[in-house]
Amino acid sequence: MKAALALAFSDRWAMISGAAVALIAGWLFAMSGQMLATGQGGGVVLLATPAKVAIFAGTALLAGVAGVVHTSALRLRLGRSGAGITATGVVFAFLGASCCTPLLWPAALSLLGVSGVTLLGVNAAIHRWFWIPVIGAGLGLTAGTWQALRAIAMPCAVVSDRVDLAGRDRNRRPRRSVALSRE
Amino acid sequence: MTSERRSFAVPRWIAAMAGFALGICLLAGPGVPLVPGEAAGAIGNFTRVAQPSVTPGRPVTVFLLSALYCPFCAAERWALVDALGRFGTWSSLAPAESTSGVEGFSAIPTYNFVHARYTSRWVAFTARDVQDAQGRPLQPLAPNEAALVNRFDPDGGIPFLLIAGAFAEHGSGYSPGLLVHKSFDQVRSDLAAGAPDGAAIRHEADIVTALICFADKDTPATACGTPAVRTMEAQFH
Repeated sequence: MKAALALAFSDRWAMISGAAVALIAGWLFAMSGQMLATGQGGGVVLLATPAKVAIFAGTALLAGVAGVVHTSALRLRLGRSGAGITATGVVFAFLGASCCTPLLWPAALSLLGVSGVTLLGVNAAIHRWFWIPVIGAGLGLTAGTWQALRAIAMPCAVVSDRVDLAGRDRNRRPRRSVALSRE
Repeated sequence: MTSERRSFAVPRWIAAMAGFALGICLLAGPGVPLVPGEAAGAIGNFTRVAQPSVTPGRPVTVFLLSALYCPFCAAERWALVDALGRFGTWSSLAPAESTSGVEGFSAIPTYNFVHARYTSRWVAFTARDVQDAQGRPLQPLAPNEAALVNRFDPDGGIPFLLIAGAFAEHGSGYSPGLLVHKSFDQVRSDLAAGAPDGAAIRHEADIVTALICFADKDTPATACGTPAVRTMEAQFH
């Protein structure tokens, strides 16, 4: 797993994509949580407690790490495992960013035909159970990253299997020939 | 060939996510008029969402959707108490404050409308605080109130203020930041003394007053005749 992580982080394009994901995620969290406002003098005012800023900075960073690992896995064409879990993590993170004023997330749901009263209930629940989506985001992004890392690590394990068993089973084929040829 | 197909499948997923994110960002742009063609008039943070529905001889309806923890709701209540006080009488108004830390604001002093009473010949006021300071459910919505929220507050955001079924405000008319680190008594005395610190509240109160006056054909003159209210109201004529 360590080798997979090193492999992912040594990929320049994966790093660029991860940085972009982290920046976009951070910006979207700030917007969807309405953490930024225009001040009286025209400057930007931060409307969030330091704890909330830290939580969403951490979540954006986690999304960035997931971005690096997924891009690396994609470039090795091992992509899809973990992508769904990462998406779930991102969805939870958006839910966690919501609070009491008109929101981005409800705006999207409203467009899908969800009623105002239902969204009021969603907003209320999110405000009351803020930690659940935040923990969900953390778990989802971590699990998605771990799944992708496993996918990257798998060919390495097969290689060592092949070496170990070479004398005993010559007909056995590596499961991930595409990845091996890339390496 | 198979691997080529695979490499296409995932970018499609990424494109879908990017499209979703872009859609959300676009939704964050300037508000879309709720009633196309009828949102030409705007005053302060209010938007005209329909034609005023006032029956002659009946009071103008004012509906507030808020929560006790919410700092923006706390700010808006000051202006409402001031404005509606020009049309009627408040009783059992108790001091309260929003929950500290919400949206980065310390506790904002305000009024508690839950047990307050308001009587007026010109205005029928309804306030619904859907959650208490701890976020627990507080006042459920009546079916007609739920219909108003569904129609005019489709995002379910608070505070939501609707005057005469025609003028909607989402969010507060001024920043709660102006009330940070002030006590209830300080804000009240600033308002009573006409101090500069109360200017934002008075301005929002004037807007609310002007909208009620506009809907009710400028009655009563005591509330609708002040220069500030007349100037604002003129924007609608």
